[in-house]
Amino acid sequence: MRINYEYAGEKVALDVERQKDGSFIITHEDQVIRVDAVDVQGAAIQFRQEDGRQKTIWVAGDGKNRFVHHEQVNLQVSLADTNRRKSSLENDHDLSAQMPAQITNLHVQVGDTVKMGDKLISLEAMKMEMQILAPYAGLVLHLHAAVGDVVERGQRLIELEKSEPE
Amino acid sequence: MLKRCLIANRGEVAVRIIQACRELGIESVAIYSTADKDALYVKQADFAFLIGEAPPSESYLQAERIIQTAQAAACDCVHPGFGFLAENAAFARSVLEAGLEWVGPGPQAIQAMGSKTEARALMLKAGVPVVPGFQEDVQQEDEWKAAAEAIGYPVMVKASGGGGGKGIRIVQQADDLLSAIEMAQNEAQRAFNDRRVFLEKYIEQGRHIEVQILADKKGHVIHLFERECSVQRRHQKIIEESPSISISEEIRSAMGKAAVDAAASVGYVNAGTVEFILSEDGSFYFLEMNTRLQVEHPVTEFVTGIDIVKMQFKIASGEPLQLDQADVKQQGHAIECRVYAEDPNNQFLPSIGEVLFFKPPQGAGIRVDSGIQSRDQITLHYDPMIAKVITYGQTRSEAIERMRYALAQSVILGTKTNIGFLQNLLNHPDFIDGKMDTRYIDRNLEHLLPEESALDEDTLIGLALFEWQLAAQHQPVSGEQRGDRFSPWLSYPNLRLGVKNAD
Repeated sequence: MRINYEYAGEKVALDVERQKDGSFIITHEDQVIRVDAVDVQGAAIQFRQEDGRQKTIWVAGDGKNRFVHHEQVNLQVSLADTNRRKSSLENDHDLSAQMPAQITNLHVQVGDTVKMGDKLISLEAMKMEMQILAPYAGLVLHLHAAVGDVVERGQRLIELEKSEPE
Repeated sequence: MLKRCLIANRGEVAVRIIQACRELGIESVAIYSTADKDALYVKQADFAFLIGEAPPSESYLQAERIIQTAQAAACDCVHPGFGFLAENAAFARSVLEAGLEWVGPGPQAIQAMGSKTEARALMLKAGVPVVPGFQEDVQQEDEWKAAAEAIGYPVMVKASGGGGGKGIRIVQQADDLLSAIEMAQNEAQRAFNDRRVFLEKYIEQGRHIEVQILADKKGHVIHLFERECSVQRRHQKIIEESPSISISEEIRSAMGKAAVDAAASVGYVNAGTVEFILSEDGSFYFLEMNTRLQVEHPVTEFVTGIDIVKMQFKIASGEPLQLDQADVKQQGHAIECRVYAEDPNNQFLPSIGEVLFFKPPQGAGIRVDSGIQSRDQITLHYDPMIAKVITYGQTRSEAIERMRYALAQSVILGTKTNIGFLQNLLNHPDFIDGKMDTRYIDRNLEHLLPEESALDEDTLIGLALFEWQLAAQHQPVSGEQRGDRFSPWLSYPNLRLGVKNAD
C-alpha cells in the first residue's frame, strides 16, 4: 500500500507491506524499515524492531491531517491531494483573517480610499485584539464580513484595489 | 466549614477548585457556557448549570445570573478562580450582599489594590518601594501624552483591572502612545470588563518576582515565599519557578516582609500575590497585588507543601491559619510550564480546533493541572492554555530534568502547541544559568523557535502503521465500535486508531 503525504512543502511517498509472519516492511526512498511487532492502545502505536528496540509513537488523524508525537517530535503531515490547486485565498494573505476570530469593528466602507497602514478591520480572538491594516494605498471594493461575524483562518475579508503610484 | 460552593469559572482552575472542595467535603457547583457543556470540570462537579452563550460577556461575566444560580442551588459560597470576575470588587460585594461567603479577599481590598493610585499611596505609606513614575486613567489625549512625557519613555500601559498579560503595551515613543492605550483599553474591556488602564515607567531588563501571601480573618498574615516569573513572552508568563535563583537571602526576606506589609496595609484576607520587579541593581519595586489565586500557585504548593486552594476555603470559613511564618519552609525546587494551543512558528497565534488526543505526563514529581480531555474543542472564546505541567526536584536541575521528561511524555494531537518552544527554553544555556529577564524571549525569539521536525524513521513507522490500520478499519465494523474510536483493541486486523471518521 502506498501513501503520499505532503510535509514542509515536499512530497513524501511511503510504502507499507505486511509480511506473512505479521511483520511490516516500510519503504521510503532508499530506506527500508522492518517492524516486527505492533500493538495499539488508543492513539499509541508501539513497535519493536529486529534488534529488540521498542518505541511508542502517538498518531491521530483528522480528515487529511495526521498528527505525530514522540519525544521531542511534534509534527503534522497531510495526505497529498493530486488535484490540489493553490487556493486563491493564500494570495493577498494580508487581507485575510490570520486565525479564526470575531469581527469587532469595520473601520472603512466600500468606496473609501485608504492609505498604506490605515486600519481596515479589527478582530478579536481569545481576548486578543488584532487589526488588519492596509498593506498598500487603495480603494475599498468589497467588504466580505460584518461586525459580529466569526471568520475562519484564511478567509478573505476585504477587497482593496491598489491605487496607482503617483 | 462551608458546605456548597459555586465555582464562577471554567477549565483547569475549576478542576483544581473541585479537587479542593472534594478533599474538604464541600459540594461543588459548576456553571458553564454552551461551548463548555462537555468540559471536564462540568462532568466532575456535583452540580452543573448552564449560564449562557459562549462569549464570556454572555456567561462567565454575567455577575447577576451567577449569583442567582448560586442562590437557587443553595450554595453558601462562591469561588471566583482567576480571570473573569475574580478581581471584580462589585461582584465580590454582590456575592456577600446575597448572603454568600466570598472565597477571596474582601471587596475593599480588591478595590484598593485595583485602584493603582490608591494601591500606590498605600504602599508608600506602608514603606513598600514602588515603581517611579505613574499615571492613572485620564480622559484627555493631551493628559496621557503629558503624563508619558513626565514619566519618560519607555512607558508601560497596563490594565487597571487585571493581569495575565492582557491589556499591556510597552511604548517606546510618543507617536505610538495613543494607539497603544486604545488597544490596551479594548483588550482590558474584553478580558476584565473594565477598560481602565494606567501608565508607569517601564523598567528594562527587570525580573518578575512575586510573593504568595495568606491572611486569615483575624489579621494574621504570612508569606509562602517567592515565585520567579521572568520567563515571559509579551508579558505573558510561560515558565514560573520557586525559589528564585536571582535573589539573595536578604532580598528574599525583605521581599517577604514587604509583601506581608503590603497585604496588612489593606486589611487583606485570603490568598493573594504581591508582584515585584527586580531591577538589575538589586533594588525591587512593588508592581501590583493580585487579589486572587494565581495560575502559577502550584509551584508554591510543591515547595511549601501547603495547599493554597484548601487554605482559601478554610480562611473563608473563618478558621485561623494555624501556621506562623517560621512554620513555612521552602524546600526543593518547582517549575511550571504553561502549555498553550498556539503556533510558535506562526506568531504564536492560537491554534483553534479539536484536540484529537490528549495524554498528560505522569510520574514521580510531576503534576498536571488541566481542564481538557481528548476531543475537546479549543475555541476562540477562551484562553488557549491547555495545561500547566509542574515538576518538583530536590534541586533546580532535577526539576528541569524532570520537566524535560514530562514535556516529552505530553501527548497533544490535533492542535499545535508551544511544547517544542518550551523544550528549547528548558535546554537553553541562559535559562539553565537563570539569566532570563522579562524581555529575554522577545529579544531572542529567533533562537528559541522550534525548527520543523524532520520526518525521522520512527515517525515514518508510526505513520505507515497508522495508515495500514486505518485502511483495515475501513472494513465494515459494528456501530458500537465505530462510535468509540479510542477503545482499546487487542489483535489485528481490527486495529482501532485515534482517527476521525471521514464520513
